[in-house]
Amino acid sequence: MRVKISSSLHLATLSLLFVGMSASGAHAYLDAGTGSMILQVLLGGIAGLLIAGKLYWYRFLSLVGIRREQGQAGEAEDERKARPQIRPDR
Amino acid sequence: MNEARPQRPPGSAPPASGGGASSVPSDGAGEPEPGSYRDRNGAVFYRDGRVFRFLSNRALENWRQLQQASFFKRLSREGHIVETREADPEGKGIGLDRWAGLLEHARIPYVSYPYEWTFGMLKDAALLHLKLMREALADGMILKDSSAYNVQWEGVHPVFIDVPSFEPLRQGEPWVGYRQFCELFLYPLMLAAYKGIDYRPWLRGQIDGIPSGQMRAVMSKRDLLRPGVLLHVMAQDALQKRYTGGGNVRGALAEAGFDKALIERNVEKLTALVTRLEPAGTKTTWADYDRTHSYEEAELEKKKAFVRKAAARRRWRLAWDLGANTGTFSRIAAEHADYVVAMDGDWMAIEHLYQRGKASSDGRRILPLVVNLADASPNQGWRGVERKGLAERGRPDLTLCLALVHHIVISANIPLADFIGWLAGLGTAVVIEFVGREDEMVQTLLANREDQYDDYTLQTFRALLAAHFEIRAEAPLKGGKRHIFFAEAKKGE
Repeated sequence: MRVKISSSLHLATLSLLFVGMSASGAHAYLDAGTGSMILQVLLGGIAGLLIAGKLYWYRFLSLVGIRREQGQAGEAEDERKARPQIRPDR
Repeated sequence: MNEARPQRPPGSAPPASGGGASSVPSDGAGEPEPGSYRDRNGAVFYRDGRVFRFLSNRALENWRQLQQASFFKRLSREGHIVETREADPEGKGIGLDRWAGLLEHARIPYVSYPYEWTFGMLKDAALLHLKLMREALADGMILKDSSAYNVQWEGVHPVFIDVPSFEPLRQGEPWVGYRQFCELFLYPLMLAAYKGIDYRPWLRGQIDGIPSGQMRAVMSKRDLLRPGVLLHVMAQDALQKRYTGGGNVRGALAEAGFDKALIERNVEKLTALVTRLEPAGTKTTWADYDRTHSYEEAELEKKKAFVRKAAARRRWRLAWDLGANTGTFSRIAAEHADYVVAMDGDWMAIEHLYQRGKASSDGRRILPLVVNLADASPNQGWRGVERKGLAERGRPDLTLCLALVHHIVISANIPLADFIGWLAGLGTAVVIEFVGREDEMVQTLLANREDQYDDYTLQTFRALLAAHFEIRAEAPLKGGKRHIFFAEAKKGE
């Protein structure tokens, strides 16, 4: 289905923005769900598009080396790559 | 926090276990609400029939900001939020221990759960939640969770009970409760509206609601075109799966300028989506029973007069109408009772009762609930006490069982002695109708099953009733095919 494919592509590209970006203190007892939080950008209408644009731009800057990701996030990413893919609670 | 607060009459049994020593006043005189444990910033307990809530430092600060907010004052005044005030712990003789403050809430007459609500009730509870979100956001606050259990009812009026859920909205924060809103409000409604599936067993089976993965599994390709499915179901599930075990993206969102305008738009769109949802397949066998009942008008009036006379004997605190259908007799009971819980297994009949209550000027005294008595809501959740069975939430002092016994004994195969014994165990007075074998409704029930119901006779019924109750009145109905009784609990029963 065309609508599904295009939507999936958009989601996939949007979700790429968040790889390696992270880390601020969580204050709620409830887990908001990472995917659900990202989705809220899509659900935010025009304001959401602006945020998405900004996130793409940050991503672009960091890819060309003009902007650096947060250290903590970068370290987390390195650590994740170095670790074998096993269940973290085992 | 998603606790609910039961009404427990004096003398009834306390819950088997509590929410931990930290939630009980230091003198031990309170009774903790076992469902109030998820948020460490507060704890609900009961004392002398009143409802209190301890607050942490942070929750107390939030409360003080909240009570100054104009939206909160307005919504409280309009009855959308449970009446709440700060209480003086010393004046009440309550030790705070590690807690910073104390609130007292008005009592909800009878606690109910989303798996007992009709579609219209769940929809109205969802719309109330979205309304509170909208108004809180306009004042710089937000609801930190979206549990459907935080909405309770005063008759047919939804009331938000979890006051400390309101928090100041921090810059860059997303709506933390969005996923929970989907799981406990939106998906159940979509399930009924788009697939014609009863969401009640799903909600009863999963205390945290319906996960996006389950919802996605029941959606067909055609459903992708239905409002809200692509984003709220498919996209949410895809993103959840993509980020399972992933990091916290709040920082990235905040840095990119995520602000409340995005949440406001989501809430606005969700409001439009939920408003449009209507249940599919809305015709059930009993839906128009009060127009096609098996009584002639004169006989129906005789039955009503009997119920009215019995109910008028005294003022009742809590009445149950079991097998209430569309509530003809609930309304009679409500003339003489503070509160009536009208239960029926047919959700459409209860929906009829709910919508009629909403349209009436006095809808605060009859609570309609979808309950199949042969498979009623159990004690469940953490330690089996987080959500409670019917009797644990408040025992009735008057119970109507009209045109019910034949369904209990013949349809549900529950022995007559067992049913009468259960009623007696509630300690209630009863108005109960025995539907005889010659009645056409019983004939229909027996048409396609083996008649194994030797106990189903008027003599056995009367003897069992007399063994457990004091029979105060009896009258034949429908030319003797049915008999109606008023009986009061025996002393010491």
